[in-house]
Amino acid sequence: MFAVPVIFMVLFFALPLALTYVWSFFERTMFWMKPGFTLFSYHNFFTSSRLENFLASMGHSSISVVVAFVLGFPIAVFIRRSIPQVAQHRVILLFILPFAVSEIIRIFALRPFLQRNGLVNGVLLDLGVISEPITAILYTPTGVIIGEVVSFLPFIVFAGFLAMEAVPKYVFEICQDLGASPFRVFVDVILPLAAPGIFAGSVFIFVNGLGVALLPNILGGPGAVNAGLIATQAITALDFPLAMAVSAIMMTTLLGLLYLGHKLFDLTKILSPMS
Amino acid sequence: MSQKTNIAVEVKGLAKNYGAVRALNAIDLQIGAGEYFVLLGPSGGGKTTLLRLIGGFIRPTAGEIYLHGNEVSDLPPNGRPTSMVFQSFALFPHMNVATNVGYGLRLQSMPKAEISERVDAMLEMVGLTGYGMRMPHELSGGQQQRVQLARSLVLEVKILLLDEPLAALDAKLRKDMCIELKRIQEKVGITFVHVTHNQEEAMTVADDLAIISAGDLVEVGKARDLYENPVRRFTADFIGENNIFDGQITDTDDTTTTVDLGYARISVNNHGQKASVGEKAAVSVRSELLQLVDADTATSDGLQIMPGEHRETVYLGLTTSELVRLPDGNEIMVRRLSGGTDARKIDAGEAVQVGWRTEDGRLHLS
Amino acid sequence: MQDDYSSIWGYRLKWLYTLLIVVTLMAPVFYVMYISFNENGFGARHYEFTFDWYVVIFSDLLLLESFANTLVLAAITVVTVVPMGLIAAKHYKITRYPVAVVSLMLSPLFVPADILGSALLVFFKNLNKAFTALGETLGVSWFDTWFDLGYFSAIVGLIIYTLPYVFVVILITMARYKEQQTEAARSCGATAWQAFWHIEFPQIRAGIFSACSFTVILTFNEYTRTSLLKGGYDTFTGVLVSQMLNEGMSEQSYAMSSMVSYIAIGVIGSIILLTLVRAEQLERVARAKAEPVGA
Repeated sequence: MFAVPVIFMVLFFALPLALTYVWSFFERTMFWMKPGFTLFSYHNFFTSSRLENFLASMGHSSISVVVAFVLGFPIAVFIRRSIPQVAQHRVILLFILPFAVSEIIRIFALRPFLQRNGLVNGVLLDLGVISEPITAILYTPTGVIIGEVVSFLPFIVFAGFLAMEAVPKYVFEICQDLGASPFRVFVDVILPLAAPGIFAGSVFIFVNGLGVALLPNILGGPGAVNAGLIATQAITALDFPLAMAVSAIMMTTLLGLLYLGHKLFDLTKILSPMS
Repeated sequence: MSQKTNIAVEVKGLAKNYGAVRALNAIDLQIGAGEYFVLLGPSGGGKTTLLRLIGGFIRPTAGEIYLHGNEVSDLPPNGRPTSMVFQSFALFPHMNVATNVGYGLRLQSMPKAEISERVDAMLEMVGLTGYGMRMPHELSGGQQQRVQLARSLVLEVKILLLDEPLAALDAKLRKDMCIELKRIQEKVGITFVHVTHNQEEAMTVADDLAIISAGDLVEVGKARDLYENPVRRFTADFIGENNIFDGQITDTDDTTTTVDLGYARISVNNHGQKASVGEKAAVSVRSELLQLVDADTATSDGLQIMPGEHRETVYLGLTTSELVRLPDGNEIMVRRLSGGTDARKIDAGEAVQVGWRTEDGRLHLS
Repeated sequence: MQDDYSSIWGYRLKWLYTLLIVVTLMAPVFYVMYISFNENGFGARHYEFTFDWYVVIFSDLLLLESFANTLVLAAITVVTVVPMGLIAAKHYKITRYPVAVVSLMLSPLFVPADILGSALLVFFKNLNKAFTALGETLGVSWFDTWFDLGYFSAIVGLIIYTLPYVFVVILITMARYKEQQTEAARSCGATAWQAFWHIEFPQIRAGIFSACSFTVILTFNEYTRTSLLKGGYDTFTGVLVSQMLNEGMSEQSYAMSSMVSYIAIGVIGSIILLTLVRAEQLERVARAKAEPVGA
C-alpha cells in the first residue's frame, strides 16, 4: 500500500525535477521549446546580469540565515532547557501561529510597516530616535532580508528544537559542574551535537530565500530578483528552457549543499527523533 | 519424548531469519492439547519469536506450523484458533473493561445480551466481578492482565498464547498470578503456551517445558524431569541450582563414565549415553544433593568426593548455602535446609570435602 | 529543567524575548487586521472603526469566487493527502529502511515553490501535448484536456507541498500508539482494517484532525505553486496578490485576508488549547496510576 505515496512522489515530484535538467538543454521556440541539446540557456544566464543578481541573492539569503539563526536558535535552546517537558510542545505550537496566515499576507503586510511613512518609521520619528525616515528598510536588499527572516524564523526554531533533542540534559549539568561559561557550553557542546539539525534548518531557509519569488517582488524594489523570480520571469516571457536552466542551477546548488552537509554532519541523525 | 494423544501445536523445521540474524533455527516441536506448555529461555533466545510465529504475527522463513492438524503458515492471527495475552499496554484504553472483553464477540456479531452474559461469566472466572465499567487506566497491573485473559478466553479458542504475561508485575504478585493461571487453565482445559525467562514461574505452571536458547530447541520434557534429570548441559545450567563440572572422559562402559576434571576424577552413571574416551563432557549435581563430608571420607563406588576451600555461608531463610572454592578456582554451592543439628561453624579458608552419591550425578555430552 | 540556582530573572527575560519574537512575527498580520476595520482604508490619516468592509466582501464576486475555488482545492487535497500521509506513516513504523522513507517524504520541503511549480508546469504541459498528440493519432479527443493546467495540476502541486507536513504531524501522533494494541485486536479476531478502525483510529483521531486542518490552512495560504499550476480560474491568494502588486489591496481584501486569518488562528489556537486540555487529562491519569487501586 505504501506504493501509492511512493508512486505519486516519484511521478510528480522526482520525475519533473529530474526532467528539469533535461529541459534546460532544449532550444527555445516562440511559445514553447523543442527537444534538442544546446547550452544556449545556460550561456544566456551566465553572460547576462542575471548571474550577478543570482549571486547577490545568494549573499542575501546567507545573511538571512545567519540573522534568523542568531534570533531564533536561542529560543529553541531556551524552550528545550528551561521549560518542563510537557509544556515544550505547546510553546513550540506558538510558532505555528504565523503559518495560520498566508505567507503572502505576512510578506505584504511588511510594507505598511517598513515604508517611508510606515509604522516603524512613524514610531521612531515620534520617539525622536531619528529625524528622517529610514528608506533603507524597504525596496532594498535589506527589506528582502527582513522579509526572509520574518517568513522563515519559525523554521529555525523548529529545526533548532528538533536538533536540541540530540543534546542530553545531563550535559548541561556536567558543564555547570565544571564551571564552563555559557559561551563555551554553546560552542563546544551545543553546536557540535545540534549541528545536523541546525544545518538542515539553515539549508531550508537558504533555499527558500533563493527560491521564493514573492520576496524580492514585493519587498525588493525595482530590479530586485532572486533565482525563483528569475525563473518565474522567464516563464512569463515564455522562455522555458531558461527557466529550467535557472531551476537546474538552483537544484544543483541545493544538492551540493545537502551533500556537503551530509559529509560534515551525517544528516541522517536529525531523523532519529522521528522514531 | 512422551507420546501425545492429541497434538494441539506442531512445528516442523520452523525457522525465522531477519536478514543475517537467525532468530530461530529449524525447530521441531509438539505440544499436546490441554497441556500447560512453557517456552523457557534467556532473553533474545527465540522463544518469543516462536510464540509469535505460532500466533501468526510473523511469517516463517522456512518450515510449517500445524494447529490441530491444519497447516496455518499463511493465515493471519485472526484466522487461527489462537489468542494472545501480551506483556503490557494491550488493553484498549478508550474502552471500559466489559467492552474490552466483549470486543472479539462483537466482531462475531453476537447478540448484545449474549455478549453481556459471557463477559460477566468470564469476569467472574478471573476474579473481576463488578469491574465491567472500569477503565483500563484505573486498574492495577495484575488486574489488567486478568482482563486480557478474560478477553482471550471468552473467544473460546483452542490455544491460548501468553507472551511473558507476568514480566511487568512485582515478585509477590507474580507468584499469586502463576497459581491463578494454572487454576484457570485446569478449569478451562484448553492448551496454554506460555513464554517466560523466569525459571520459577515456569516450574510453577508448566506441565511440559521446552528450553529455547540462541534460536535452538535445547531440550523438551516434563518440568520435573528437566529439573531432576536434565540431558543437556545448558538445561542443567539454566534450571535449578546445579553445580557443573567440566572435564574430559577417561573411561567409559555401559553404566559408568569417568570424567577427569584436572584436580579430581569423578564417576557418574551415564544411563546408557554413548560416551567415548577423550570426549569433552560435563557432570552436574544439584546443590541440594551435595554435602560437606568429614575429612576422612574417601571416594568409593557410591560416593564422590572432592576437595575444596570453604568461602562463605549464605543464609537465605529457608535454605543455607555454603560456597566452596575448588582447586581450579571455580566456586560451587552446597545447599541445605536451614537449621539442623549437624550445622557447625566453619572458618573461612578452611579445607573441606564435598561429596555426593554417585547416582545423583548426571552426565552431559552436549 | 529549571534548576534551583539559576536566576529567575534570566528565565523571565528569555520568556519575554520569546514572546517578543512571536509578537513581532505576528505583528504585520495584526496590522492588516487593524486596517481592515478602518473606514478610510489603508494609509488614511483618520481611523474610523467599522465593520463595513467585511460586509462588502459578500458583494465582491471575484473575491467570493476565488475563495470558493480555493475551498474546492483544499477539500480535494485534504481527502487525498491525509490518507497518503497515513499510509506513509504506518509504513515508516515497520519498514527496514526508515531513513529512505523519511527522506522521500520530507524532500519537498527543500525544493522552493517556484522551482517545483515551474517543473510541474512544464511537466504537465508536455504531458498534455503528448496525450493530445496520442488522441489525434487515435482519432479521439478524450485525452485533450487530461493534463491541461487546471484543478488536477493545482491539486498535484498542493499535495506535494503539504505531504511532508501531514506526514510529520501524523507520525508524531502515532508515536504514542502502541502496536500491541493492533496485535491484540487481531488476536481477538479483527481483520487489519477492523483493527485500524476500531482500535488505532480512535487513538490517533486528534492527530489526523490536526493534519486535515493544517492542510486546509496551508492550501489557503499557498500562492506560488497554485498560481503556476492553476490554469484559468482564480484562487484566493491569486486575487490578493494581483491586487497587491497592482493597485494595492482593496479594502475588502484586507477584510477578507483578516477573516481567513481569524479562522486559521482560531483553528490553530483551538488545537493548542485542546492539546493543553489533553495534557492535563493525561497528567491526572498518570497520577491516578501512581496510587494503586488494588491488586
